[in-house]
Amino acid sequence: MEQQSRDLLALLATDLDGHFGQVILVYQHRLLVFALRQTGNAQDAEDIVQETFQRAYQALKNYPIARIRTLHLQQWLYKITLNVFRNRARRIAPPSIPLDVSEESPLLELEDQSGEPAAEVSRREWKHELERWVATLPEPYREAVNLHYFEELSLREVAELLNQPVGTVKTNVHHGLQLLRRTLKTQVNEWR
Amino acid sequence: MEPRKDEQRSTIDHWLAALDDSDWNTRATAVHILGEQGELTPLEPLLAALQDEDESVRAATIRALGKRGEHAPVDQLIVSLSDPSWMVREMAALTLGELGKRAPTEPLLDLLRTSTRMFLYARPRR
Repeated sequence: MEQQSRDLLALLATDLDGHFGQVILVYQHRLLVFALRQTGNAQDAEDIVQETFQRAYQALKNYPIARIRTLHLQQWLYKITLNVFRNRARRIAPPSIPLDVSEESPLLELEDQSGEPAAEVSRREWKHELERWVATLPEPYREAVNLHYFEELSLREVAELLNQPVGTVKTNVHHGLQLLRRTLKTQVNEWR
Repeated sequence: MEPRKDEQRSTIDHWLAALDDSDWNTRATAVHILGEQGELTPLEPLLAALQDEDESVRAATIRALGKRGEHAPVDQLIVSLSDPSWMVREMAALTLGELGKRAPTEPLLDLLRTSTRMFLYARPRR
């Protein structure tokens, strides 16, 4: 991924219009899932990702070539996504409709056509269920858990991205996971 | 008037009008194109765009102003180092860095306290 990102940055630095489509192809799914975990709503997530790419394009158009080459593309895109999410959250106060993780959900349809073994499908379903609950976590726990636990960024990378001390991120991840565990435990007890 | 300049003026008029568009993406594109026209673009509308409510428009404006080189309004660019948006602060740092000797080092040193990576890239080239 890192090499792919470096190659892509080199292409963007020489011909932004010719290669920006590749940025969308490579990162749109990842950003969509990330945004889904933040919003818990598929339509909001799609809008956020679309705006993220528009803002990324505008920024790249204005960046010096040397800056484009030194970008950490994925983290940078997460950072813009979070910006868009926060700005929208400020503008739109009403709560989101919970993420649709039902069998009919078009978002899950894409994932379930792989003919994977049952264990893998089950693991995925569990992950989707978890993602649904992550979207209900209060900020700033949600951002920290989303980035560290699901996007697998290191605590240091998350700290840099959120412009927070590593200790704060660590605490937020810890509290976020605790809350998540408690919520899931209650949920499992209700199912029984 | 030369036909090419005439054409450029009409481009500038078109995009100056677009600065009032309700869509931030259109305004950011307008600012970018106006910046490309150099000093044929009047300074005032760009200075006004520095106060745009949208961060991408403000960031694009900084870049457009920076393209004026020795005529860039350095003081206004320095103010943008304190913008609430990181996208705007970064663009201000990058632009001031590129302006080299014209930009005082002190505001960039202040930025060092908030973002080491941004500072390292944006330090003025002497």
